[in-house]
Amino acid sequence: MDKLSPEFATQRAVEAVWRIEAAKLIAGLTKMTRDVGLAEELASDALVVALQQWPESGIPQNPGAWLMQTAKRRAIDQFRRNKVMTQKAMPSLTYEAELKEQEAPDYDERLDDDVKDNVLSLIFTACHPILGPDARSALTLRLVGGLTTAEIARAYLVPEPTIQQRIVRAKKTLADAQVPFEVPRGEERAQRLGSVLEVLYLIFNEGYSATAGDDWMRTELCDEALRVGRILAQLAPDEPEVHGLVALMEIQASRSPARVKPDGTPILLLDQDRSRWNQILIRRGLTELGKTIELGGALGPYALQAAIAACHARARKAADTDWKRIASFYDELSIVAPSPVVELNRAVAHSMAHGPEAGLRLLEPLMEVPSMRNYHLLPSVRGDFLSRLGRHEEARAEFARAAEMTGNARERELLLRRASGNA
Amino acid sequence: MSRVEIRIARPDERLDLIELQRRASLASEDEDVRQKLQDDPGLIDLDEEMLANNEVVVAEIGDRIVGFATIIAHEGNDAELEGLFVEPTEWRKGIGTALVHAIEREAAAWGASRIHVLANQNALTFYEAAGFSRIGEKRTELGPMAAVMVKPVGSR
Repeated sequence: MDKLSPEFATQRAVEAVWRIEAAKLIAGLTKMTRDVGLAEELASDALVVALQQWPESGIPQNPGAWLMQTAKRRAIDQFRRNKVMTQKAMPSLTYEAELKEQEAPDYDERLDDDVKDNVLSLIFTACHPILGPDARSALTLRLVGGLTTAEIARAYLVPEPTIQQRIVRAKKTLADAQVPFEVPRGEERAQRLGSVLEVLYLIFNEGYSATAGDDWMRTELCDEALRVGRILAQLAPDEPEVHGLVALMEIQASRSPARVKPDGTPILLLDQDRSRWNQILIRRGLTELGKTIELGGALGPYALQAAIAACHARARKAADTDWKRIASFYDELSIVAPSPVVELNRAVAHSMAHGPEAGLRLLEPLMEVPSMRNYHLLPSVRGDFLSRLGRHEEARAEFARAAEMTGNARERELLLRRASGNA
Repeated sequence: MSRVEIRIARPDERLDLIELQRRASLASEDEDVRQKLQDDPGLIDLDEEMLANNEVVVAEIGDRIVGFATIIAHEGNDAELEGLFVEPTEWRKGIGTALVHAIEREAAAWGASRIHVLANQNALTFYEAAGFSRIGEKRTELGPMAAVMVKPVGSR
């Protein structure tokens, strides 16, 4: 890393600056132009100028302010050329671009209220329920996370044009529906916030347990979801579930270094070397969970999942895990956020707390659920219970079924090994 | 010169690190700060909790500690390089840079977007060479103004 050419080092620095500043930049420009698509293009243009100029001129003292000035100047040029803007928007833009003073530094990311509001509006816009889940994820990574379309495509293992189209279409959908650029209030706020959290956790999970491809994890997606989540927690500090989700992601991410063997095979939670868990992430997660509980959100779906993750994080050895406590958190979770996947995990927790028979009993109703018919974890978990009961023949059949169902190559290997009785 | 090794500090090294910090501070600070440090030895301290939390990294040559650095995880995605001290006899040997890199790796591991540091006047060129840019000023606890400098943490 230290032997990079100066040009390449500057390019990397520009990209890193971009990652930090993109959301503020695009949000500010959307506020001015009232058009998130146009704002994104202006911001991207400014990035191109930075990539041309900074290797020569060095990185400016306040890179964010520099990018903003450049983008505004381009906006004005474009409006003069195209005359697409109403006269009303022009004076404020011109005025702002002529301000010579650079914006106040915000070295600790403490944002002033206007900027906060703009970035929050941007997050709500990118996660608008009018968009499908794929579009929301791609737009959030692009606009808030500052990822390039190529990076998003690589993270999701799809061709770049697919992501480009997804983003272009999403921006068009937002424009056609004239979605206002604002932070929703009242009842709408809770509902829209739910959509935001769902998108972030979707992105995180796609990275945490990749559903496709050869790698078990794609950490760049986890990193991005976590980063945007932390920003959101600063922007909406009174929302318990935001802290709950961030707590959950911090604690899950703390296990990343211990989840994969050097050859890429996954290591299951109970087999992980816990000394490799990232303690800073665990502490951050426990702090966030504390905030959730202080705000009265202990029974929120994300808070409960975080509380479960915290039980694992607190156990120094797998054998120290408080499974009874985890089982009771799952009981609560199955009430506030019932789903077949929660039932599956609840069965696992009960099997650990009260024995494999208890687990098998809780799996019974799931065998009839249509959405579980092709879900590889059901036979995989069932196989595990059966093998703990000494019913090895049945167990091997379940592992073989699970191996057929999974789309992840690493996981398939693991299951096939168990199916052959060698794991 | 022997190799510089970087590792996480151990709690039992606390007093050695405090003395190292004292020598480094007296050698690098301006006159009035030096005076304050001599008048009140308790001004230099190293929180036991930081050691317990793996927030301190040390640089060793052979089995001799020649420098250390501390990191604080702030709210959001902000990491602070809170302290960086190198034994005065070992200055200009790349030890500070090695410690900055170690802190960057730590910050990257928990997903920070950037590191900031409060740099005194004598440290500006060091941090600039290490890739930090100056974005403002802030008054330090001991009185003089320090430059606020930031460096983005590359995510891969």
